[in-house]
Amino acid sequence: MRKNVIGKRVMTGVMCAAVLALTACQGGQKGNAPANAQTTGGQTKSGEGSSEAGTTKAEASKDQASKEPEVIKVGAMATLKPFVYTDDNDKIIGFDIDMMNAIDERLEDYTFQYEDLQFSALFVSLQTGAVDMLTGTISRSPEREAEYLVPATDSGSGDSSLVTPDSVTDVNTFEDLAGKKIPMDPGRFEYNEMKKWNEEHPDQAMEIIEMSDVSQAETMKMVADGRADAALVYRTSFDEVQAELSLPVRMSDEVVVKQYYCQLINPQRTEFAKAYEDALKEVIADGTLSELSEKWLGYDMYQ
Amino acid sequence: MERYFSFSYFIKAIPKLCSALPATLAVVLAALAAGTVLGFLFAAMRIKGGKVLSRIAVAYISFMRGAPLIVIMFLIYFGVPQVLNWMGLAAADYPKFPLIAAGFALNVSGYLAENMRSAFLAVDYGQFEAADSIGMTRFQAFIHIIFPQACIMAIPNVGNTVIMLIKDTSLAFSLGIVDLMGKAVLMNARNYGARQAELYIAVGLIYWAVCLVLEKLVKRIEKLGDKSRFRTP
Repeated sequence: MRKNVIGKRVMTGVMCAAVLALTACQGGQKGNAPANAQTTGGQTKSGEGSSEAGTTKAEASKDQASKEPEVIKVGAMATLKPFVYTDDNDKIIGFDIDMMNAIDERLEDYTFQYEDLQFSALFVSLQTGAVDMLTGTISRSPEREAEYLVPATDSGSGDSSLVTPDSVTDVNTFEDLAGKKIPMDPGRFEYNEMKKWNEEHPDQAMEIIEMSDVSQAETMKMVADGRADAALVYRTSFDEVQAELSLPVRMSDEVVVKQYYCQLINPQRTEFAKAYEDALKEVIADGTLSELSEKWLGYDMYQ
Repeated sequence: MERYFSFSYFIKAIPKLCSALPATLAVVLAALAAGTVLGFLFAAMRIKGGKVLSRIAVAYISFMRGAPLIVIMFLIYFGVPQVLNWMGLAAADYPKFPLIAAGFALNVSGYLAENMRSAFLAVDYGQFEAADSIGMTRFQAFIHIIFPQACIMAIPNVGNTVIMLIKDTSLAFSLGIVDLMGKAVLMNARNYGARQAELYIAVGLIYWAVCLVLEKLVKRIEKLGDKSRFRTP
């Protein structure tokens, strides 16, 4: 009998202590929160090429004073150089960030905030409303168009070509890959294109080595070592990897996969999606994005 | 050789990676603080909770240890704001760090609860009887006799749990906290993965160093405990 009563007393004491400690923890964490909140990236570079944008903003500034712009949280994987990645201080940079900043300047009612997310958290973040929009080499698909708002205007494109050992110059297209080994991350657009090719041409099928999160440099190393026969690499990445590694490989001049990029927007944000697409069309039409493309990719992807 | 392993890149990477160490340790300490409280609570419930409470504790501990950490993390990070919205407590912005640390805290609390329970049960029942014989209440016996001994017994297991937690925190990066592993992934992307081996070996060594320090610490605490245990008055 006595044992039980004391047991209960211990339990209540423990519970009180736990509740106290928990509430204390909460208080402390709340205090820390603002320091962790991300702020919008700098807009210095994107302003250079768009003096017209400055004037329109000045005209509308009297409206702006009365209304705080609404924050749009933009999620992106910061491992997609040159589209979205980080500088030495972990600040998120890249073509997409400059593009979004240029659009931000044109949208009086909205302001963008960027969040670095990994692939595993990307789509669930958009679905649950933790972010309002995704960007960064995202391709359109019927499934995505059914689930999210996807602006009809493409924001850019990327070209990939085959990389083979220096001595192999006759492998330039998927046709030449029959029975050959090629590594690819199943999460990528190119993987679906390769799968499609294999289904449509079973007699000329390539052997895809499925590797999640494999880097472009790693696939090129595999080609150099003979662990793979070919690799599918972004045309813009090849030279930079070679500058670092100078592997005994070459890149074919033929573009095998062309991927068009888009953004995905929370389906409830119809008004924003429209404003966004209008602004996107503007920055493409007036050459702002062509300039940014030259800056980040070395060529104009809108030509 | 330079093509496959650049020693200079490797050396330069170490201090850069270390700059993310505070973020890793912050998640570990926050999760450990909250996890210890929760773990103690559920260990107590399991041992002394009676039929209902002990069953709740069993279910809780088994879920927190059984469900993949990333599932618990996502449930808290994405679920809690939605539940709050549903309850009419909508906020424009939810602080990231507490939500992420809470996921780790829940996970580690399951392990800590079991560490504590096994340590408590490892204390010989005779100790209770001895305390009883000199007229201590059960509460006094717990505080002065059982608890100090259980603490010492728990140290090795708790040390293991903390080591596990340190490595698990690399998952925080999927939600945007730049910890050690996250820093390596970001740096890796800056040159398309050209120096991946160097980076990952460096990050592996840093995790190892952190765990070594922790192991030494655990050993030292254990020794202190041993001394007080076998000291003759």
